[in-house]
Amino acid sequence: MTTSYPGRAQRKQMPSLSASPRARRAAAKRRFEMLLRMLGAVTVLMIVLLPLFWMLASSFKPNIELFQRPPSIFTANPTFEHYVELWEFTSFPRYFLNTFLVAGISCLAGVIISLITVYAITRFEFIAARVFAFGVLIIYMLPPILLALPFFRIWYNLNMLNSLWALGITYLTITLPFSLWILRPYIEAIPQALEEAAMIDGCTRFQAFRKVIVPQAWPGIVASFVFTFVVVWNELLYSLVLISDEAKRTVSLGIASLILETSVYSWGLVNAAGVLATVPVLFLFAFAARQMVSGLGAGAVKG
Amino acid sequence: MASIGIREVWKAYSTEPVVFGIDFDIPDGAFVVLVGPSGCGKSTLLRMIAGLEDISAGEILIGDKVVNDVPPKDRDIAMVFQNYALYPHLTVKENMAFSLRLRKERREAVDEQVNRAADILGLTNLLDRYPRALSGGQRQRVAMGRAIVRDASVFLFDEPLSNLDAKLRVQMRTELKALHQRLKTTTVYVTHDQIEAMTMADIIVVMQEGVIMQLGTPLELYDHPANRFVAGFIGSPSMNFFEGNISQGLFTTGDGRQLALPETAAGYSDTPVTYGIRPEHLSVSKDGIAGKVLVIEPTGSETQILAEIDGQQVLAVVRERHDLQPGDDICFTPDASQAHLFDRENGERI
Repeated sequence: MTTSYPGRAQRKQMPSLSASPRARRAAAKRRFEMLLRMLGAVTVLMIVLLPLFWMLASSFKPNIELFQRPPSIFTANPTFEHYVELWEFTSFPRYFLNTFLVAGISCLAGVIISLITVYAITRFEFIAARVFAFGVLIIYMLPPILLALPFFRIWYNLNMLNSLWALGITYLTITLPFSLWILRPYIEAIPQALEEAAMIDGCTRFQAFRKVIVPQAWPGIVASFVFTFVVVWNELLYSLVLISDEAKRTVSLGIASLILETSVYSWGLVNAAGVLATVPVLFLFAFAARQMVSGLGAGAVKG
Repeated sequence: MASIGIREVWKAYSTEPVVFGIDFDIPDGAFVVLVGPSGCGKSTLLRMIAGLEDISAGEILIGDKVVNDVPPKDRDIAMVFQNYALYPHLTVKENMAFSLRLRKERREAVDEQVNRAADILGLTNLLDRYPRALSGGQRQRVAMGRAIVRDASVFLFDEPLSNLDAKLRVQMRTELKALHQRLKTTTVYVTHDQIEAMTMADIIVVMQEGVIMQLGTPLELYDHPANRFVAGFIGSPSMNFFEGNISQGLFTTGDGRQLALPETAAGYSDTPVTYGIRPEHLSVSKDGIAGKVLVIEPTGSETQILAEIDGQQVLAVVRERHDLQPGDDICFTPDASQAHLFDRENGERI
């Protein structure tokens, strides 16, 4: 039995399609669901952003308006007086510098150490690897208050209280486990064949690590740096326990001191300090978002 | 180019050996295929040649130099991996130039070598793309390009075609063979696909459970398999086997059927053997071994007939066209001169 077919493929004409009542109802339902979702999102955003907005608005209000009843959201006479006062008559520039140094160095060290550690754990089979990874997670779960007093004793005995180095090393207990936790899946997902190819192409193991693993893990590296930086930037407990010298304070400790050490609350100063403390974090997130491009690893191996 | 010497090479993980004293030489410029089922140790052996696995005992020589303790980067080898292993953050051009840049070669020389390799492999238009923007076949070509630009003494291929679809695999197979004929670089190629082995190799090394079962040219292995394993592994469709005895100058199966013997059986009597016959050496006849047709598979140039003979499935490949349907009675006659006999005890060829 044979059927005759035309010599070339011929496409059929597409019939005109119109939406059925059922399809129209489904589309209306989808639009309604979308509206509900939007409403939910806006509500959550308002709850999250309101304190930030209030802080920003208050930082530009003159003192007299800050205490008026009923309070107003917007001011008719915006002023930079709190920012000027903060910058010229307090030690906040110093606090910012301290925090940048401590957070930057401890986060950078945390990321570098954890990158090398995760590489070792994932690439070289040794019995301690799993125990180590589990132990790190346990340490991360311990409440900082449990560690604060032992750290105080350690640095006191070493005569290193009020040292930014001591504070930075203490922060490694936060940054290291966090970076390990974030980086591990990134490194595990990188096929070993990539390093092997690099080593055959002429790399030493370290060169293969630097030229292949690091670029592949870059989104994870940036993510762990940014998240640990934000955690350390906001950290108060350790700095409160370990730092008493006014010149060594961090930003969060400085803001807390503005509230704790003045009999009359300088709300304008506190809000201005809060706004300035938020700016680096926002910049960091903006930078990180561009770096953490997903899909960079696609196409490495058959997939 | 360089020869490779594998001298009594062993590999053990903790105390469990997986490669058992492999010993053979690969001549300069040869295309050698290591073939065998999964877990036979072929990839491990290749990785030992590459320096990606330590050698538990024995020696590997590339050229005249023992390379046991030489790191991969100093072995003057290039390797193509099963899953391509392209650097995803680098373009095709950068991938191919990676090794040359590491050697700090001049920019013009790097460009020249990359362009030459791209030209050979038809990658010229893809040089600025990233691996994620390439198809499977293109990625495989880039992986080969990366090996070519190295101008290495030895090429190692670890199942490079296994991730490609059937049509592309055939095409790449031809390209690889043409490439070898052009470059004449000593090549070690690992595959579990015996058709790849047969079509590409100068020398095939058949492995099973960490030992070499047979080494030889493709046709030597096909025509004179050294044992039952090789006879069953090499050839597609695979050889038919019947169990029985040699008695009174004939092969007698357990149920009393008698088949003519090849000349190699002269002098044997009352010997339990396995009788092997390739599907193309069975012909449909009026008398012979009778059975029932199970499946008919016409491929155009030939027809595969799967029949059941006393509960055993037997496959014949015939060029003539027969009017057969599943369930029909059929008789096969083997070409006795092409039959293979194997010792029932140890599987060795008689």
